[in-house]
Amino acid sequence: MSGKVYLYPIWIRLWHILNALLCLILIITGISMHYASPEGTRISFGLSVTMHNICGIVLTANYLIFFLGNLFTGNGLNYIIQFRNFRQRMWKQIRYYAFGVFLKEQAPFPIGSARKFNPLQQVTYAAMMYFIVPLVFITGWALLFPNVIAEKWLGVDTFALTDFLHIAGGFGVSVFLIIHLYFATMGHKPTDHYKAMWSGYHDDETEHESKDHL
Amino acid sequence: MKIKQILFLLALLAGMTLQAQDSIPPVVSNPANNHCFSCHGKRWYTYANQDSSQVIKHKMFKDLIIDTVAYYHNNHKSLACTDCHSSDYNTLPHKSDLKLEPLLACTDCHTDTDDTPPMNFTGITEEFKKSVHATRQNANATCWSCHNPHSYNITTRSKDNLNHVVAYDNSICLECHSGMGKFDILYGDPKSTLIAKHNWLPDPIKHFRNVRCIECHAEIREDVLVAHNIRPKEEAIRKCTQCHSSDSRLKYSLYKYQLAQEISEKGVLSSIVSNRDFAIGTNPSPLLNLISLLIFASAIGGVAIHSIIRIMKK
Repeated sequence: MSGKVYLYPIWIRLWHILNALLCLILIITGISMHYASPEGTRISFGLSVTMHNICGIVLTANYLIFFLGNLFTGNGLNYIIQFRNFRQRMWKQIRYYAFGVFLKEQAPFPIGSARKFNPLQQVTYAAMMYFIVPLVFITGWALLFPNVIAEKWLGVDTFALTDFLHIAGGFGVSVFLIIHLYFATMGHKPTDHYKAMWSGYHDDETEHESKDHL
Repeated sequence: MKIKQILFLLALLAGMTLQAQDSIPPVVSNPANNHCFSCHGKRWYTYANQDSSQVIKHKMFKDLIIDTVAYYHNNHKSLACTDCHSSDYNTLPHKSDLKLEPLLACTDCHTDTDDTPPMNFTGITEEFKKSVHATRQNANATCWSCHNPHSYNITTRSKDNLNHVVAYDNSICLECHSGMGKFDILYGDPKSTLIAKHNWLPDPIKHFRNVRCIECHAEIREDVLVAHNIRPKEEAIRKCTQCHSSDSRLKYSLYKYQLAQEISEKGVLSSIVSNRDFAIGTNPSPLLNLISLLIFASAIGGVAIHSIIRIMKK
């Protein structure tokens, strides 16, 4: 039985579970609206719009909690990408996911009190939380108040562009969610990471750390 | 070198912005009409009494005043007044029985042509006869009720500025239905304010600016370019997905001409690739939808393969 390390304080867990639920509802209602037909949709179009709008507003408020939490606690440090030996570290992690995990190798960047994300997670989470998610809710707010968007900008239909960016960003979140849910099964046991996000305590993987990977 | 590049870029951007602006063509008047417009182009007209040679000034009846600027910008600008009206009008004072002269209908001159897509005037006439305007107003409703032959501009076959098409076509409806003018007089409904009646829409103003009234208030007929069968208000479209969906009715009405033009100019495949985004939910690009589905399937497939190998190697 490995040791435990308290990695996820209560505010992160609450933010994370709320964020996950909201994203799920936003994706389902978003897909429902995107693939609507004149005959209607599986979820009523009006209900989809209302739920999408409400969840989008709550998601923005929830994001502010995340943003301020990262600003005023040490959690934000986990999102600062380390560029030293960036390519080598990224490749090591990708290789592990592609081959190492099947060969029962130790994780090259085990999770512990000093490291919460591996390099690949760090880049992906930083891109999601500081670029894609803000892009989605900013464009979402713009679509909520379409009159604030200029009709044209340098000959480009700004409304269509905002719509496209919103859908593309939402699509990015959907793909991320699938991969994120799967990679969360890659602890010592498939349920370890899920339990950790519930209790706050994560297995201290550094206890298994191989000297090769230091 | 860098400054030159920046200046070139700025000039290019300025050109793009200017290009987007509408240009107003210069007025080219028809001398044959000057005689008519000398009276009918003004609010007051004068004539000399043949017996006393006294110059008499009269106010022109409002409905007989022609806006000459609008006339020379309208679709009939090349016509002389007497092309449609009796040449007896050249005689002054006009004979009183000329008032009984039957007016031409649109279809007396306009016939179906090989234009793509065709207007289908026969179809328009059939649809108009079924419309609420024709059935409730009988003979009082004619083409001229909505299309003023002295100022009308056909905008349907414009592919560059849809907002202009929408604004112009809606102005025809608003002429009577703005709730402040003729509609109140006709129906005695002083509360008929358009915004209040369309408040159920998420953003009425945005809708007014981007779609025509007929999109929701007229029945679409495949072979008629512009729907003319205006339905009673109870039959108006109130289902969002009729427009905001992949098979949007707008593709068969407002966007019909543009889509047909894009297909004829670029071919079906290119038009699908470059298909512009019109209204939210109309799935602008099937290609992008396909790419997104492929990425989605790859993500799920990758996860499935990875997990199977993990289970096998356990």
